[in-house]
Amino acid sequence: MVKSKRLFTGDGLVLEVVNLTKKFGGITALDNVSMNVQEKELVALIGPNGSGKSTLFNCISGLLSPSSGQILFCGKNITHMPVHERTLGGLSRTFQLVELFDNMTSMENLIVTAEHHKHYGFLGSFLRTRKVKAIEKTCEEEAHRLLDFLGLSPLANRYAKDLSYGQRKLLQIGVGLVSHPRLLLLDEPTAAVNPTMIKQIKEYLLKLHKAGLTILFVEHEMSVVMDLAERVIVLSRGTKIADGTPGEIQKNESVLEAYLGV
Amino acid sequence: MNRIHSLGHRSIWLIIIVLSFLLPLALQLGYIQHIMIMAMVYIILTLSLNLIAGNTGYVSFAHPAFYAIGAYTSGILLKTSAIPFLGILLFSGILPMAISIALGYLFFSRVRGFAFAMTTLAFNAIAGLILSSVLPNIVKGVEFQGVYAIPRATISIPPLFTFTLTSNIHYYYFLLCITLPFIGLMSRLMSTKVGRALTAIRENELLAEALGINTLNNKVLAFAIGAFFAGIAGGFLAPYITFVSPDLASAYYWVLFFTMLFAGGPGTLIGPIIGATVFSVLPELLRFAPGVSFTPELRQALFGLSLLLIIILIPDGIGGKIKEIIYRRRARA
Amino acid sequence: MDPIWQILVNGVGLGAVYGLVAVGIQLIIGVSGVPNFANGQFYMLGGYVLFLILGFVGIGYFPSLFLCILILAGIGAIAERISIRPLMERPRSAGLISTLALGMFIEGLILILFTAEPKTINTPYSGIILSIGDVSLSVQRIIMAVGGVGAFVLADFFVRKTKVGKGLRAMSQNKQACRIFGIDIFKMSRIAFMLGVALAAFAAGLVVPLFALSPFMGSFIIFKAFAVVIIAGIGEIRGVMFAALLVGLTESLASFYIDPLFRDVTAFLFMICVLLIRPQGIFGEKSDLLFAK
Repeated sequence: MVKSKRLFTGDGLVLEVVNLTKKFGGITALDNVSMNVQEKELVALIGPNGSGKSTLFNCISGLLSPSSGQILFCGKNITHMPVHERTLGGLSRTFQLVELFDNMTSMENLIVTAEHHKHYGFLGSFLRTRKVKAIEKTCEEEAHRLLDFLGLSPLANRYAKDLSYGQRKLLQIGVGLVSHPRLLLLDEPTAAVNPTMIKQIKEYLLKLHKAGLTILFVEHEMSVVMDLAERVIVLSRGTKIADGTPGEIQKNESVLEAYLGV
Repeated sequence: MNRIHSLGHRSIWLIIIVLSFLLPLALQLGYIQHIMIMAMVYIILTLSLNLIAGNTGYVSFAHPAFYAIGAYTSGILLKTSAIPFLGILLFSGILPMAISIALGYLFFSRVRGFAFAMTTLAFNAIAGLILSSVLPNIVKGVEFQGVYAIPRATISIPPLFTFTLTSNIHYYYFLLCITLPFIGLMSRLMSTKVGRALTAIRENELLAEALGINTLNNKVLAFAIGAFFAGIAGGFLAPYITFVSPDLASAYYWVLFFTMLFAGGPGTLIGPIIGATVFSVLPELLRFAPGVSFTPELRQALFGLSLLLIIILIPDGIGGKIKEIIYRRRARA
Repeated sequence: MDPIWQILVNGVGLGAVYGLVAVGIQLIIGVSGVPNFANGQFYMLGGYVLFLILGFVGIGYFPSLFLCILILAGIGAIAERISIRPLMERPRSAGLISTLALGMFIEGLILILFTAEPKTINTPYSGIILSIGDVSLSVQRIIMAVGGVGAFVLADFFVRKTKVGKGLRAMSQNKQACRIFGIDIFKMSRIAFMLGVALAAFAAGLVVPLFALSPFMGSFIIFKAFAVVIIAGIGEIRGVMFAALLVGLTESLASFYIDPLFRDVTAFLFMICVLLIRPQGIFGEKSDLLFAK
């Protein structure tokens, strides 16, 4: 068994998807898709509706099992790894339709995630040993810091269901960050959000990127993609049709065809 | 996190504890003491069911089976062996717990939600059948109707003392010494990492899984702890009533447990306690209501109706409503 | 004379009855997400309503059956409005418990009104035996088998071919999309519930001339019906009927040739085996881990 040393294939590839195919009955949602994400990159995944973006995301995060192909995360083959193990290994994601623990407060949403990435067991937690108390305090502090960063501090003790949609989107990003992931997958972070909030989210993502976080995000809003992404991967009807800088993609004919054509 | 340790709250608990110690001395009637003892038994049963069904959101029909298995274990061992009672009591909890762990790993990994509820239902039915039809053929002293003439419990810590529990008061204080720490344990449990994980699983299981929580292990843990204490409750029952029957695993009991839990307030600490107390004490009081013949049928219809009304009108039960009021008051502050 | 034919016809009849109750459950779960534990009691209610109609209204067996179904459908509509509709958006366990409570309440009511004493219902067909060669079959049992399967065929036709039926199937597949397409989800929920209850009532109408009518028959059948639903898995109602017939036949054969105890446990044992080997059910699809909303 390979010990969990963080091996890197090639030069700092955090994510490597190799010939991934996913079929649902008769429909091929992903057809031999290969792509990768390097450390500290900010990559966008775009494509018209039905191109397979969500499917790809779901395969990477573990909610779907691919029909064939491989997914490597920090060098480790995670293709069939259970979802929670991938997250514990440093792969975080958010969801297009915001998923939170509605009847828990913002703080609780963050803490319940944070504490599962710290290594201590049930017995320690139950007996409230000094070590555990220190860890719990750390989790609480981290949660507070994140809420501050996202401007959500006044809502710390509010139930998640009582937050506005934009606030929930931010909280979701917070939940993704609290585990100090090596790769953050964002599923349409600006969908259904007002322009002011879009600007805010863009700013946060840039800040995080500058701090060294590797991000892969799915987006529909072209302005966000062009402004944020260092590299853009384009899917259409289950295959990858382009992979380059935003400038290159804008001039790419097959991309234009995919979006405007039939 | 939900650490309601404000001074006011703590002193309420203190008052309750002191009162519960003094109560049986004030009310010397054996019958009333019996009601209070059974209320405590049901508190243990409901709070332990709450762990898996309320906090984690996985309804389980298997609780009566664990209760019955604990009762039978205790009854049989008291009759046929010389093992000290405290050891028997412990074992009455361990046996159902072991079974629940096996069941848990087998089925939590395969099914969810209501399909899981069905497997617990199947298990409960099969367990009941085994207790009533198979066990009497294997173990001496077990009849088809149950286990009779169970001797009273004797607590002995040689050479310090040996004490046989004979009267209701004895059993009351013995059970109190189990129930109070048990409530404390359940409360503590919910403010640990595991407790929060269970709540997360109930709120959004797939999200919990996606965030790194090992839902399988946590669910099995909740199930196992619940089964352990259900077994202990049964283990206590055997020498107290001196008779146990396969009825303990029957549908009547999960109807009762569900009413106590879901009307009382699943997922809270105070809810199951209220539910257990109300639905074990009230039927006894109604027995004396003038003009109403309080038959088992009427009891069932009333339980059903009250549970239905509460679930529709006050979805989170009485305990949930209390929690909501506290939350609202805090949010305003 | 080999009882095998009786056993087979009995098995098909039983299976058909389980199937009708199970189909009702499947439809309701599909549309509203609520596992209707009260379906057993509606089944039982159907039996008592039939008893009352036969006793007080002097129409024949089949017209009484028809009237009974209509009455139960009406009761179902009221029950749905009160106890299912408010729960559609809540977690599954709320629905489970509240329908359980509803069932308990109905059973308690019937116990008070009619006592626990079983009643017998006789129809003009009860006494008639049909003899083909050296096989004798009670006509009522044949009615049970044929009626049961027939009702299912009708239900299947309704679900696959009619507009309303297709609406029901669409809802069980994607509730969000239905809202967008303008399908009234509340109406669908009510129709599914009424249909489920009507099928259960019809099943009872077939059963009670043969077996005694008791307030507990609901409790006896509901768990088997749920077991059948789980064995079949989420999917077409044909799968449910197939699983039901399988269970009915196995139960009939096992309780005669092996041990009468099997009458109670066959369905459960079957269910446990299926869950261990193929958790999604015989006809269910292996669902990838996706949020079920």
